[in-house]
Amino acid sequence: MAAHRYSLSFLFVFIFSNVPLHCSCDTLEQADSIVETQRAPQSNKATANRAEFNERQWQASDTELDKDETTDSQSLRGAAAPPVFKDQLQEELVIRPLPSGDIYASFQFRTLWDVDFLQDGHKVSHYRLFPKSLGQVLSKFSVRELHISFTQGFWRTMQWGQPFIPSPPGAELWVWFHHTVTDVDGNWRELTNVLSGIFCASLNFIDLTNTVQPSASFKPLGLGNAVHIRPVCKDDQCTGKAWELRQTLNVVFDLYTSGQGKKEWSLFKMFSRTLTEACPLASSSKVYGELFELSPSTPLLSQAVVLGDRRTYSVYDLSRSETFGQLRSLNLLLRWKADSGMKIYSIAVYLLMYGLCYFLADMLRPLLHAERYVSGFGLQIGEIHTVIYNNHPYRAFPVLLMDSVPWYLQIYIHTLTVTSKNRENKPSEFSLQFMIVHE
Amino acid sequence: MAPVQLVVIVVGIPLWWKTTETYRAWLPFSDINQLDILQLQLSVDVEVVFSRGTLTTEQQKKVPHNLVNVKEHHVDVIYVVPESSLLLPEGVKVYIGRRRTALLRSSLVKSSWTLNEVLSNMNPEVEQIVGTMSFNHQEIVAALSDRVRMTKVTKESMADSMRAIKSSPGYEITFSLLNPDPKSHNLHWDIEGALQSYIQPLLNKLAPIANFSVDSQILYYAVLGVNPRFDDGVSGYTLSADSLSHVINPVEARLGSNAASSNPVLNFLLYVPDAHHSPLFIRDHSRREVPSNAFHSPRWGGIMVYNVNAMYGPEAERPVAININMAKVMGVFLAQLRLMLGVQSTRPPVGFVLDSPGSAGLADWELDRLMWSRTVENIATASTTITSLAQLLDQIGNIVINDNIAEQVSSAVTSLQAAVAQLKAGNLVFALQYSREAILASEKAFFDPSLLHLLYFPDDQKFAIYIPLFLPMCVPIVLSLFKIMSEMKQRQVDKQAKSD
Repeated sequence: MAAHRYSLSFLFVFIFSNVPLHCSCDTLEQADSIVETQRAPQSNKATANRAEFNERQWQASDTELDKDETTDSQSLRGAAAPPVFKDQLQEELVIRPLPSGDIYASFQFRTLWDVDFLQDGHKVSHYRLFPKSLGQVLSKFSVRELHISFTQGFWRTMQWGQPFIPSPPGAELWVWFHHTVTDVDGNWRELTNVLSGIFCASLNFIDLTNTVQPSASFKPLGLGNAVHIRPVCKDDQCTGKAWELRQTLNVVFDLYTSGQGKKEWSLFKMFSRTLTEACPLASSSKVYGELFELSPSTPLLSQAVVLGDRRTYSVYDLSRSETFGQLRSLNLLLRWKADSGMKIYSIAVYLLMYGLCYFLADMLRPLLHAERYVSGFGLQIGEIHTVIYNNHPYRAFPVLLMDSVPWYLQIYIHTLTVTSKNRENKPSEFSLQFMIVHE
Repeated sequence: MAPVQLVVIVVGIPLWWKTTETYRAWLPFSDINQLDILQLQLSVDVEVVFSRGTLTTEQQKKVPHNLVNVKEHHVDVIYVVPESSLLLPEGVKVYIGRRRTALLRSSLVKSSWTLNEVLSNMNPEVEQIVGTMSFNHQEIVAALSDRVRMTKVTKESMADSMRAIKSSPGYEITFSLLNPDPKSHNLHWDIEGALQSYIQPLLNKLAPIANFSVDSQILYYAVLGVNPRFDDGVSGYTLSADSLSHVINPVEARLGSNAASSNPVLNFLLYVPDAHHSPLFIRDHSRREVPSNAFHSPRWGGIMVYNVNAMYGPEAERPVAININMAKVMGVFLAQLRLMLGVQSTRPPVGFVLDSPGSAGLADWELDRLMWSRTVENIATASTTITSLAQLLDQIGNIVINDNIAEQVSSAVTSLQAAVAQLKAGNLVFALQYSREAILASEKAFFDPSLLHLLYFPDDQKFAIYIPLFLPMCVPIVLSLFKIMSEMKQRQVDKQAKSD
């Protein structure tokens, strides 16, 4: 077994969102998350045989948001109708090889629960799949949406592209409170203390000296902002509210095999085990691998739009027993040739055989990314430069930059200059918020 | 004369003294000292009703005929029935009913006795009855065990006193279903309905004592900390009593406590063993099987093991859907809950028969007993808190006493005094209320963070600040004072010399 090193980024992200369901359900395709489309993709440059191929191969995605029913009614002795649960769990794993040779594995566990925490008078007391400790925190502090992320290491955006959910190194906590909350500061302080107890992290050091309340940026992801989180509809008519807990774990593996140019990976090499079964509690359990010569091959394919790029994934559905084959275990393998060879090989092969376009590594460079560096020293000469790059070939984007400066860094606002293309530029909107210095 | 020195001495020094003293609001120290010598007097009203045939006609004439309205206060009513009465079975002397009534078989009454003599003859039995229905010496001493050393400590009484959870204004009760094997068992429990029908009536009845908040959860892949051993005799797995203390530890980390409140938590776990370790039985210290298959840990909660292997055959498709029989489970949990909350399983004296607790799970007199011991415990705790706070504030002059702390302390003191007075008068409900208020106020005052503001401000620092400021200024003043004094002396000597 080759030596593995966990490379840098190791992200662990919790996302809770209250997903209001008065949405327009046509936005089923997402820029940021992996989904299965319900309709055959029509926007591709499809050839005739490819369209046929689609009908055979594309899995009709069953967005089964209805109940997780119990099976096997013959074993119930004299029992009533099978119980109907209002919560369900979906798990998925996305494996994407990065152009630099590392493997990016992203686990995502979604728990959907049809309940309302913030409703007065009716206290939520009975938990099944949704964790009780988090549910009680949500109701006590009237939280509308909450994101926590713990990151160790640094995500190399230039080499790896955009992660599915970007997070800075360290711990980050975003909370949106319900509009009925009057004392936001007090609530925030108590909430950070409670969460630091639950996660054994020193979140309680996030006090008023390093907290900001953004006024313009950071709209809550669950509300109508169709770029990040997909609103979930309970049924076709989109009635009623539900809570979605999304737990993700992102790992980048640094696999250096002794072979030159040949980079191979497999589930067994990464995790020291293979998959033998799906989680019995999950209503759907899938593994997505980005489509390069994956073995064992699967007839299921899925397409998704990720950050503006369309990608194709092989889908392994763990709830079907044929996925596991004869050996009752699933070990995804990949053999990957060297980069330049891959480029030509893949275009030729895939265009020929599948008629799909495979984009080059250039595609992975993100459209927008930012850098920051320090020049000079001391209060008089020191400078902090923040550079934002736009890599789109022809489009211009409006950018909103929110910067949180700690109290011990004394910067002079009047020395702020914004330049673009070596010409002075004035920001169209500038707002400054002072927090308390030091208690 | 010397204006600078005058100003300094007359105006300066008092001004500095006044402006640098810490704000200390007034506290009723004398009352608090009185509370320290805690003297409790508990009284309970008992009404004895003589039925026909127990007294002679002359004795009957002396007895008043009016009935006290029993709904107003907690009065224990004892009905005395004739010796030959068939209401009580053979050999049974006393029957204690569900609602604060008792039947007492009368002993021999001599016709020559006066009413007082009759009553004094019945005294020991009445005392026994009241001791069972309201309070007795051991219980009160156990409630005061923080302050009073128990003189006669038996192993049983020690165990009893340590089992009940400490008095608190509110409790959280959590029911958890542990499923270590979701691949084989798909468990379903109707916890909401079961809680409504079994637990909620008891909690409603206990409402005067504390607030209760109940919730439930299901934990998957939660294993016990102990590997059970296979026993051929019962063809199942057994957990011995010695290993039970290790069972709870790995599970407890996953149970979670309520983030929303700081009340103590009582956990009740229902464990369904996995398919490879079914059935699982619990053995007690004498290696016998426990019929309820459950055990409890004092001041923490209880665990019950529910075996499901009999409900399906080996050919059933996994996971097997199983509906848990909540009646059986709730019966066990209810019994454990009663013990946790301090409803003592009384061993009545010989010849006593107790009625069953009824639909709420708690007899009225059991509630009374709980209220008595809780009131006494609350009063003891509150007075301990207040007296230690007063001692602390007295000894350390540096601590700031804000107005709100003084208010809390005063209200705690008045509530305590009221509670003690109500206990003396026998009004149990009011006494309990006052004692709860006293505890809340005393805890609030004791744990107030504003007490610590100037605590760590040592005297050395004060001198280090004052000396560079005042010393240079004081030196010429003091010197000039000396000069004035020596001049005055000189003048006196001159005067003396002149008069001579």
